[in-house]
Amino acid sequence: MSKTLEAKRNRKIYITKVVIAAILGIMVVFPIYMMFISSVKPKSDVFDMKIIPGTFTLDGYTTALNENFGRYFSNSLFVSTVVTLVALVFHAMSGYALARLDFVGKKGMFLWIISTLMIPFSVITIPLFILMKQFDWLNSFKGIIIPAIPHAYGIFLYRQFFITMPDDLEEAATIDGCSYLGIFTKIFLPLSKSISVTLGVAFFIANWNNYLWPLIVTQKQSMWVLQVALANFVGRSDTPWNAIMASGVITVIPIIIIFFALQKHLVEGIKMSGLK
Amino acid sequence: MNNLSISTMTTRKKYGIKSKKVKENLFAYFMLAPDVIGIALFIFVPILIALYVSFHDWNVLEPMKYIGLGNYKNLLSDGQWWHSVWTTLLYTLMFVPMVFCISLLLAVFVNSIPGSAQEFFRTLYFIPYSISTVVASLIWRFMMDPQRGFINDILRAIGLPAQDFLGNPRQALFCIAFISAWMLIGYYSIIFLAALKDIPVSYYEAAYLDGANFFHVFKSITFPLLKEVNTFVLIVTTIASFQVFDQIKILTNGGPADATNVSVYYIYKNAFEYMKVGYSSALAFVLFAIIFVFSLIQLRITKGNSDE
Repeated sequence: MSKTLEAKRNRKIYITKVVIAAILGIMVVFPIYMMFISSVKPKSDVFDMKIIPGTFTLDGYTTALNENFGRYFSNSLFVSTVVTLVALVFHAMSGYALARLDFVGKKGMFLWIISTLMIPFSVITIPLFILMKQFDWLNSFKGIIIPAIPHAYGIFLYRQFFITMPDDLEEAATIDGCSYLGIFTKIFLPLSKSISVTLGVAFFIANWNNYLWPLIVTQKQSMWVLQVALANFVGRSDTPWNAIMASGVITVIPIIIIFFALQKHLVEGIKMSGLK
Repeated sequence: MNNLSISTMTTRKKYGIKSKKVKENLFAYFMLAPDVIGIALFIFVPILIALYVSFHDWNVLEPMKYIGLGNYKNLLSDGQWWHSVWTTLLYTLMFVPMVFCISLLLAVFVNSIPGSAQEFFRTLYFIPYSISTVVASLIWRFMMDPQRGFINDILRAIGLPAQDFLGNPRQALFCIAFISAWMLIGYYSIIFLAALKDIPVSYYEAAYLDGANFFHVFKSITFPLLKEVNTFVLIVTTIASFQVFDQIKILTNGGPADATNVSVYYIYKNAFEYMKVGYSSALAFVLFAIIFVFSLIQLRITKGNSDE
């Protein structure tokens, strides 16, 4: 009898916990929900406090698209995709060299790369801008994309990954007559699929959400990415709130899709950024 | 490692090994080249440019004028700079404890929920992390609108006076800290949760059998065993708080009445609004020095961990 009593008590505790967790969850997500529903309210009803819109309209989206948000969306998509793909290839190459190859100056090279993690981006923004001006890369995709690629973090994580793999992988391949490049592309690269997806998700989101660098390197409106355009849109006094919310939704949609599709990888990436 | 085998080999094979070594070296440099060139050009060169420019008076339009340590001397007596340092510090004092405490408590709480519900809630709290600072800023600007915003509607409904939030010099900085915390709590909860999973359940069981309550267990088991991750989160959030910029650029532009004019924003303003690029670089370098010290501490801790 005491056992069923205890089970009952545990059940009660569990339900209480879930209820509290759900209330907290609603509080955390509510502002995002507000963005979604406000984006389909008419201009005049945006502040009506209704949790379910009284009148449904796509006016906000029409205004946003007239403001060229389609163009900004494709700019963002292009920039984030290119940075992610190129960064993955480069970082896998460097990480592999640092983990599996013997060469002169290896340790120094590794420390040099790692030390760049201590240079905050906000400190190099202005000189990087000066450099871009010298290169004549302002207002160009080159200027947005290329400086965003090098990053010690990805190199480090690839190295940590490759270093844990067993030694006989190379030995078997060498006996089979594989070249150096062959060992990397045919054996190690396929094995790194999972970490590549994890890092790819992290890179894509970070670049999609990046604001400071694109803001500084692009003055020309046609080169704006979503974040820059959105910040500018919010800053104008005549912008209707339903259109701001609609452009906000356009901005987060790809991230929400990635979030739900690749959530496990996202969490994995965060754990890696923790203490490893 | 190869030394022993090399010494026993014939000369011809020795040359084979040697050319293999050369090949391996060349291949390694080939693999590293793209990233190394990128890091050198877009991270190291800029830092050197910043250092160089910081010794000059430069407004972009006219040629640079060397003034030695002039900019560094000027910043010592620049009241606005010290105000921005103070504002940044205040921000750190609001943001870091808020993120730390809420994420830790949330992680402990979520960790106590068994089964798939745990994963569900972890995901739910984590959603704000995936949206950008720009989107987060616009959402909260909407929620905190002084006249019609949702939060003021609620305050009025329960009989409290409406607030100015971002328009009030005494509330704006806290609002920014709150928005940043809202974005990051899910992220740090996941880091705490991962560390909590490493604590053996038997520790808790033993304590509860001895009649300890939740607070005892938290104080004498959970918290001490999280020492490393605690330090990690404290330092990382502190470094992040020194660099807050996006939210301030979008929401307050440093105002009202300079209440949110933090260091990075002041540096940005000096370069792109006042055109004092040399001075701005000197300020950036001082900030770099401060962050560098904290990063060194972090590196020491992280390194200590991976050596185990």
